[in-house]
Amino acid sequence: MFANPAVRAAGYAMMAVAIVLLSLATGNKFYIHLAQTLCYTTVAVIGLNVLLGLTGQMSLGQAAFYAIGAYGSALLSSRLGLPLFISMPAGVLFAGAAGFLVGLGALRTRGTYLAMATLAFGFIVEIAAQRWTDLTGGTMGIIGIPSLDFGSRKMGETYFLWVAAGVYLLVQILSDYLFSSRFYRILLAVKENESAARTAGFSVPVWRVVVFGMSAATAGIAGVFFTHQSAFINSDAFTLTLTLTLLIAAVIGGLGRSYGPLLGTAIALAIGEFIASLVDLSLLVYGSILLGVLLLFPEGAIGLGARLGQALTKRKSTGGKPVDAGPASTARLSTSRKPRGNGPVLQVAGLSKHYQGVKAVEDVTIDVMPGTIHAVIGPNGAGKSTLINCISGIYRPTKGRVYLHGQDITDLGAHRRARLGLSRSFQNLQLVPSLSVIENVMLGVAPAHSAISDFAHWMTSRAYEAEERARALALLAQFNLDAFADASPDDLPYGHRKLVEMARVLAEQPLVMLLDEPIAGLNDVEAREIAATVRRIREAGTTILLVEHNMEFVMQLSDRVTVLDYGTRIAEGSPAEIQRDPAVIAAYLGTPADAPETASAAP
Amino acid sequence: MSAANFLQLLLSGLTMGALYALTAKGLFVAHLATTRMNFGQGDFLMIAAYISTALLLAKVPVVVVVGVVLLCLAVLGWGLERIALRPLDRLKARAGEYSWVLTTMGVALILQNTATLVWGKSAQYSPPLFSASRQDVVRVLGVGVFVEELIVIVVGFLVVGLFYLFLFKTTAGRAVRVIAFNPDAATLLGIDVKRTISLVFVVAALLAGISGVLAGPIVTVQPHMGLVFTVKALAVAALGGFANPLGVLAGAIIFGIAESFANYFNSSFGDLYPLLIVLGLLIVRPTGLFGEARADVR
Amino acid sequence: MIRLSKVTSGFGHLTILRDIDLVLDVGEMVLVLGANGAGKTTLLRTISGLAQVRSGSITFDGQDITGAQPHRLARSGLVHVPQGRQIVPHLTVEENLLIGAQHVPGITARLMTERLEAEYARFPVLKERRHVPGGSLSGGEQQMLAVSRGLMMGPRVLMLDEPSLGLAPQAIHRILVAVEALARQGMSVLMVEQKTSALRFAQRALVLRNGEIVFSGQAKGLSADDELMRHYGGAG
Repeated sequence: MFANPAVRAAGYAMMAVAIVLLSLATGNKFYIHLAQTLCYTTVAVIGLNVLLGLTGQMSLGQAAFYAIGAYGSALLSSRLGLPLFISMPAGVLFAGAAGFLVGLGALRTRGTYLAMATLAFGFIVEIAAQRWTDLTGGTMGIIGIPSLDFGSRKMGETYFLWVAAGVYLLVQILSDYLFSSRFYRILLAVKENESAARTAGFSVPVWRVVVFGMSAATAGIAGVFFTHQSAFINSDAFTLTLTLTLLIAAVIGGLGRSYGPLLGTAIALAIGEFIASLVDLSLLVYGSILLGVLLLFPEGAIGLGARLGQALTKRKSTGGKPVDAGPASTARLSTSRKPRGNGPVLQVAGLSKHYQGVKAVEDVTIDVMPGTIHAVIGPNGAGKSTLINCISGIYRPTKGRVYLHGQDITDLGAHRRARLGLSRSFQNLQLVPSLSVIENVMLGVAPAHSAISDFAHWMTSRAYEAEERARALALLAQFNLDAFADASPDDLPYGHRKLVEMARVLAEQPLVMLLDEPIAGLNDVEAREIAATVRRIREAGTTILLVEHNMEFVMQLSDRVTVLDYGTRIAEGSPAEIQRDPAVIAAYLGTPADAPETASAAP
Repeated sequence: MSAANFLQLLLSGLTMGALYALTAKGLFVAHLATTRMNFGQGDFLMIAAYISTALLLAKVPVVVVVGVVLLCLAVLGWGLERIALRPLDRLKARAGEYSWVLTTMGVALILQNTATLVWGKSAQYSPPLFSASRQDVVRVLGVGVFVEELIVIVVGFLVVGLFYLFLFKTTAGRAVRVIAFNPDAATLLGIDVKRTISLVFVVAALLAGISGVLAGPIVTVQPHMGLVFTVKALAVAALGGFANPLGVLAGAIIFGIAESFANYFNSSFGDLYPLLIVLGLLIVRPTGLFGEARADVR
Repeated sequence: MIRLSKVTSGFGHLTILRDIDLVLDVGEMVLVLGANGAGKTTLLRTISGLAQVRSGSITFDGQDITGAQPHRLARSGLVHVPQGRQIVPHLTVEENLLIGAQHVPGITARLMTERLEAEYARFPVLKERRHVPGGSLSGGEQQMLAVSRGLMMGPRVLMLDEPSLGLAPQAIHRILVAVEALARQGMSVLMVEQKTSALRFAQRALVLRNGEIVFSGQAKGLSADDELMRHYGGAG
C-alpha cells in the first residue's frame, strides 16, 4: 500500500503499539474480547480476499476449514493433552491440508463447479460436526478446552489478544507483500487472463491450488483462535452462516484490496453486534447486505473511499517510480539466451490437429533456423492459428512432434514451453486489464531476487523491484512506450497495445518468439513500426516465427516463408521463391484457381 | 434385506430422486441459458412447501393450492432475475465474476428469515396432497407402499417430461437452446434474449415450486430445509453434467436411490455418502457421469 | 434502405469505427473489404445493433434505428448472418431454419411453410438433410443453412459476414450466386468478404482500414486494381 518501507514499517509498529497500549489501558473485558475476535476473523477474511479478489475463485466452504482448525486444536489439546503451541499450529496445518486437497480436487472443475464443490464440502463438514458426536460432541460440544492465557487469570485475555494481534499483523504484512510484489501480477494474470499467465511461464493450476490451500489455512488460524478463546466449541458455530459472514466481511471491505479485510471485518462485527439485539432479523440483514453491497458498491468500502478520494484529488501514479533507471538508456534488445549449435532451433515435425473430423492442420513440417525470421502465411482459415497454438502449447496436436533445440516439447504445457524460451504474442491481444502497462511487461521479467531476498528487499528498500521495473521500462522505451508505463492497457490505442504485448514477450528473453498476426488491425504507420521492431529483435539474436496473412509485410521482413492452405503446407522457400510459386498464387490470391470453376459453373 | 425392503427403499429412493430431478432441472435450465443459477433454489422449494402446507392446513383444495404456489414462485423467479442477477450485467467489469453466487444466496437468506417470521422456527408437517393421511398404503407386488410416494414419483416425472416438451418442442424452449449456444446469434434471429432469460428463471422457480408442493408431505418443513435441497440438487446436476439434459434425470435417480440405500445401512451418516461420492467423481470426471460428449451445448 | 451518417461505434472502452458514412440502396449489393481487425465485422454489428453507437445516426427504410434493440431490428427485416455461421449444432436443419422465422411478428404457418419450401428449392441439400442436427453439416452446407435461416425471416436487408470463411471455392460460388440472385430480385445486400473473387458479384465496394472507410466506389474492375489491393492489405 505504501511504497516507502519506512512509512509502512512505522504503520505496522504503530498498530502493534496501539494494541498493546489500548489493551493495557482498558479494563473492559468486552472490548478486549471484541478486539480478539476482530484480529483472528480478519486473518480468515484476508485469505478469502486473496482467493476471491486476486484469483477469482469462489469458496463457499470456508466454515469447514475454520471448523477443521477449531476441532483439530481442541481435540489435540483437550483429549490428548498436547500443549497449545503444538495443537494450534497442528490445527492450522489440518485446515491447510484439507484446503489443499479440496483445491486439488476442484482443480479440473472450475468456477461455478468450485463454488458448488466447496458448498457441498462445507455442508458435509457441518453435518459431520453435528452427528459425529463421539468426536465432536455435536451440539453438546467439547468442554474443557484449555484457554490461551499463559497461566494468568488476570492478564490471560490481554495476552491472547497480543498473540492474535501478532498473528494478524504477520498475515497482514504477508498480504501487503502479496499485493505489492510480483505475486500480485501473477495472481491477477491467473485470474484475468490465463493465456497471458501461461505464456509468461506460470502454471495456472499450481497457483490456484496454492492460493486455495493458503486461504483454507487462514480460515484454520481463525478457527484455532476461536477454539481457545471461548474454551468451548459446538457444531452450531460452523454453519453456512459463518462462511457467509466471512464472505460479507470480504465483500463489504472491498475485494482485492489489501486493507479491505480489516475494514470489512470491523464493519461486519459491528453489524453482528447490532443484529444481536434483533436476532430474529439477522438473516434478513445479512441477505440485504450481500445484495446491497454487491449491486450498489461492488468495490466495497475501500473502493468507495477510493472513488470519493479520486473525485477530489487527481490520481497519483501507481507504485514506486524507478529510482535508478540507469540501464534504460543503454539497454539493448539483447537476449541472454543464445541458441546453441547451428541446426534448427525450432522444429515442427509432421504436425496434425483435427477437431471433430475437421483437419485444421495436416502433416505440417517446419524447421526454423536460429537468428531468422520465419513466416507462416495463408488465407483466413488456412490453419495458421491452430498451428501456432499447437507450437506454443495451447492445443495438443493430434499427431506430430514439436522440438525446441532438439528437445521434444510436444507434451509440455504452455507455461513450461515459455520457461524453456518459447514465448508468444496473441492475435487478439492477451494483456491483463487490471495491471498497468509496465506491470504487464514486468510479468515477463524474471525476478532479480530469490523469493526470500525479494521479501527482505520489499521490507527494507525504497527501491523495491527497481531492477525489474528498470528492465521493463527500458523495453518500453525501446518501443517508445515509456510515457504510458503507468497507464491501463485498455486506455492505449490498439497498435500500442500490440507493442506492449511484444515487450512482455521480449521481457521473457525468449529463444524463439512466436508472433501471431502481429499487424492485424494496425494501420500502415503502426505496421511499419512493428516491422522495424521485429527486425531489431532479430538483429539482437532472437529467432522469430510469425504467423501473418499480410503478404507485403511478410515478404519485406522474412528470411523464410511457409505457406499453408486448407491446413497443409503448400510451399516453403525464400520470399522471392514464394512470390513466384504458382501454387501459392493460386491458393492465396484465389482468382486464378476460382476462375475456371466459376466459368464452368456460372449460368 | 428382504425383497419387500428392497422395493420400499427403491421407491423412496425414486421419490427423492423425482424431487431432486425437478429441483436440479431448474438449476440446469438456468445454467444452460446464462451459466448462472440460483444458489437459493432449495430455499425457493422451502417457500413453496410452506405456502402449500399453510394452505392445505387451511383446507384449501389441492388445485387451488398448486395454482397459488406456482403463481407465487413465478413472481419470485422473475424477481430474482430482475433484482439479483440482471443488475450485475450493468456493472460489467465492476462486478466480480461470481457475484451472482452471493446475490442469489442473499435472496435465499432473506427468504429463510421471512419464513421464520411468518411461520416460526419449528418444523411443520404438511397434510398429504392426495391421500387421506400421510400413512396411506397401497399394496404393490405384495408390498405396502405409501400412496403419497407413488404419486410424487408419477407427478414428478410427468413434470420432468413436460419440461422436456418445453425445452425441445416449444418456440420458447428452442430459443433457450439458441441462447445457450450463443446469445448474440440468438439476438440476430429475433429472439428477445432478456425476456427469455426472465422466462428461464421463472421456469426454474416453477420447478422448485412443484417440488416444494410435492416434498411438503414427505419431509418436515422448516426454514433451513433449503440448503439440503440446494446442495443435493447441485450435486445431481453436477453428476449428470450441466450440459446434458438426460444426464440430470439419470443423475437424480441414481442419487435418490443411492441415498435411500445408504440411509438404510447407516442411518446416521448415510445421506452424506452419495454427496462424498459425487465430490470424488467430480475429481475424476469434472464434466459429470455422462460428460459433454453428447452435450446439448458448449 | 440503410443510411449511416457520421457513425462512430465500438464496444466497452474501445472505439472501433470512426465517422462512417454509408448508403445501401434497394436491390444493391455492396461489398465490404478490409484487413483483419479493420472493423468490417463491427460495421455489421453496429448496423444490427450489437455494437454501441457513440455518435452519428443510422436509418433503416427511412426510420431512425440508432440504438434500437437488435432482436427488434432482426424481426423487422434487417437480417444479419454472423461470421462463423452460428448454426445451433443440436437443433435439426429444419429447426434451425424455423428458429428465426418463428419470432417474426404476424408470420403465419402458411407463410413459414412457403418460405421453407422456397429455401429447400434454393438449396436442395438442406431438404435432403432436414432432419439431421445442424452441427453434422459440412461447412458449405452450414453456410447455406445460415443464409437460408436468415432468408426465412423475410429480410429487406441481408448482411453477410464472410460467408466464404473456410469454404471450398465451389461452395463459395454457389452461395455468391444465390445472394446475387436475391439482390437482383430487390433485396439489399451488405457483405463482408475477404475473397476478392466476390467483387464481380457486387455493384459497389468499400474498403475499411483502421475503422475508417478509405475507399468507396464501383466494384467492377477493382479486382486487378493495385491501389485497392494495397489498401486491402494483400489478403486475397
